[in-house]
Amino acid sequence: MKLIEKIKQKAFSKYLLWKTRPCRIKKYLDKKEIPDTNRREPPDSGNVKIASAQVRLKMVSEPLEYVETMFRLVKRAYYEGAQIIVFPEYNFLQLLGMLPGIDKIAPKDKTAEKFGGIDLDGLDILDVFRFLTPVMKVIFATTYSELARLFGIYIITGSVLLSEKDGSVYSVAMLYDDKGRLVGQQKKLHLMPVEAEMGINCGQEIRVFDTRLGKIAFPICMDATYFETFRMLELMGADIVFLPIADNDYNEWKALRGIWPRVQESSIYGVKSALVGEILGMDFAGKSGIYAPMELTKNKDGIVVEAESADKEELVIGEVCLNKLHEFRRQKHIIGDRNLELYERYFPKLYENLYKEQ
Amino acid sequence: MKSVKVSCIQLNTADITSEENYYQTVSGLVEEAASLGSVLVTLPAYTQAFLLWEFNDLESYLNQSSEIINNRKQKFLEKHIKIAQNYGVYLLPGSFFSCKNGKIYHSSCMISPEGEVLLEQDQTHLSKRERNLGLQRGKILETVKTEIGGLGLCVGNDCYYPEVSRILTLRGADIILCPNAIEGEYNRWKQFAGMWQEVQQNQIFGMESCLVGELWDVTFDGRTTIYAPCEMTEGEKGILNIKHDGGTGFILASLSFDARERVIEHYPILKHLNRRLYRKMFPLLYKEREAD
Repeated sequence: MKLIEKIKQKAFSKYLLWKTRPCRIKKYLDKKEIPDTNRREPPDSGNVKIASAQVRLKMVSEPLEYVETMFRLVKRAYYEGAQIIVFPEYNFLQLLGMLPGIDKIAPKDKTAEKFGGIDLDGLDILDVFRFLTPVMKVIFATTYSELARLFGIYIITGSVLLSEKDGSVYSVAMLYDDKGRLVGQQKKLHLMPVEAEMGINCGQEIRVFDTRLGKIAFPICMDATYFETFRMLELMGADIVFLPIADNDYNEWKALRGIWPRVQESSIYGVKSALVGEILGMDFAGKSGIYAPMELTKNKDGIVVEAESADKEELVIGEVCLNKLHEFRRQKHIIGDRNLELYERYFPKLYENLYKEQ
Repeated sequence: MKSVKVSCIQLNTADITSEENYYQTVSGLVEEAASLGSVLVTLPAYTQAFLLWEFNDLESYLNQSSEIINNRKQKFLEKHIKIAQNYGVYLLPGSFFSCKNGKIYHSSCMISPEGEVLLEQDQTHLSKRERNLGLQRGKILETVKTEIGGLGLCVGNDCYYPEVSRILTLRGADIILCPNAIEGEYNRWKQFAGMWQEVQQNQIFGMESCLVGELWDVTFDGRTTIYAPCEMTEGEKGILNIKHDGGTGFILASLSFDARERVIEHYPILKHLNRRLYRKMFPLLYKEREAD
């Protein structure tokens, strides 16, 4: 890269960091009418009220517009009585609008899946995410930490593409507690084929967080295609698994392949948060929802509550009971068996063989 | 283009009144399926019950000597071998009980058109009711290569354990066959939680034959279904054919291996297994579980 280009890039980076500086975001939120969270009733032990945001994409050139959208959704969740809110996968794409000329980028193909079809005139799109990583880190850390603290609510941020020191890029979601403290983060463990082709990396650590709301985890999107993710989480003691998603189209049957069967086979609660709308020629659609073992739902269908639309902004609110879940796990008679000898006989070798094949 | 026609038979216990009636019914259905071009036919779980009329309940049968249990199994197999030979089809004869080293297993098998038992499969995960009956878990999952593709058997409740279909798929199954008897009143969601989703997460074909009605004081209900990955089915439902009522009969579907290949090529789920993570986590987690 020529020196002048380097200088331009550095200057633009400084400009973005200035525009998204924490004090600016905090000042913006300080002007808002915030409820006195101390007056709020303490959560009933065993019952957890959950909000799942269905976020509709809208490109923003001003980061405070993004903060405003998240503020509005968290505020609504708070007034609905939610103790935790989850946001979708790629809940940062709106912020690409900060890049001048981004709106002129055309997709190679209207049916492009995630970022696979975007034509950046020879530029590696991962370089864009690498460049934006410091900015995204600041926006996410400040916005969600502040909103969690101000409303006294747990927040799962949805995922953002972040690069590490060695340049590797991961899809990462974060959890903030009701005091605004970062509890932990989770990297996406299984990639879409197009993400793998782009060179995004998959995480190698899966975590369950012990919170006042129970043991929670938040793998991302494709992770629910693989029973292995939820089996690990079940064995790690997870009660509620939150799943930020960003799917390219909605079909009720294909949507049924994700979190719903995982909830049934693992006897846990599942919460899905969907990204919807269009950005850079990519369409996203899906229904946010809260799911439970079918025996614990009114219609015996495994659905506690689900969004009405697959393409509009919505906030799905529902309540789950951890005591009922724990009792169900003790009582269940069809599932719940294990055959460790069988797994030990086959899985190590089968996974090893696949590894060799590739 | 490689495709094969297959059929799944559903039996309603109310329609079967005697052993002879059972064989007549099954022979008639297999004959009709074969005449329509089916090369592979499945029957539901617990078909051996229709040969055990003198026992009031399953417990009293399972308390018989191993000799009686294995003789009855042999008789059951011989009758079905004849049906497979008569109509020249691969036949999954439902399920039966077998005794090995004094332990009783709930099992199924695959019979070739020539009458050879290609594969015998024990159920590997048990419900509380099955454990209380003293049944044992199978410890082996085999598949068999045939001219119509790799076949694997998922017996009864094994369809609710994703480990089973994953192992069978990774061991070469293209079609997983499930002789089933789903406890309780009919709830279509129970089947989505079983074979439907096993087919989706492994991108294989699934054949599920259901037993319907009362048997040994237990109510069973389900709808016999032939499954395929969503992308290659009408309305992307993941269903090639389904029996819409609880009566005795069969359904037929054509399994297109080329169409399945195209689905996998576009969306190779198994290519993206996170094997490194599984190898690190599962032994540890199961060890902890065992210690509990």
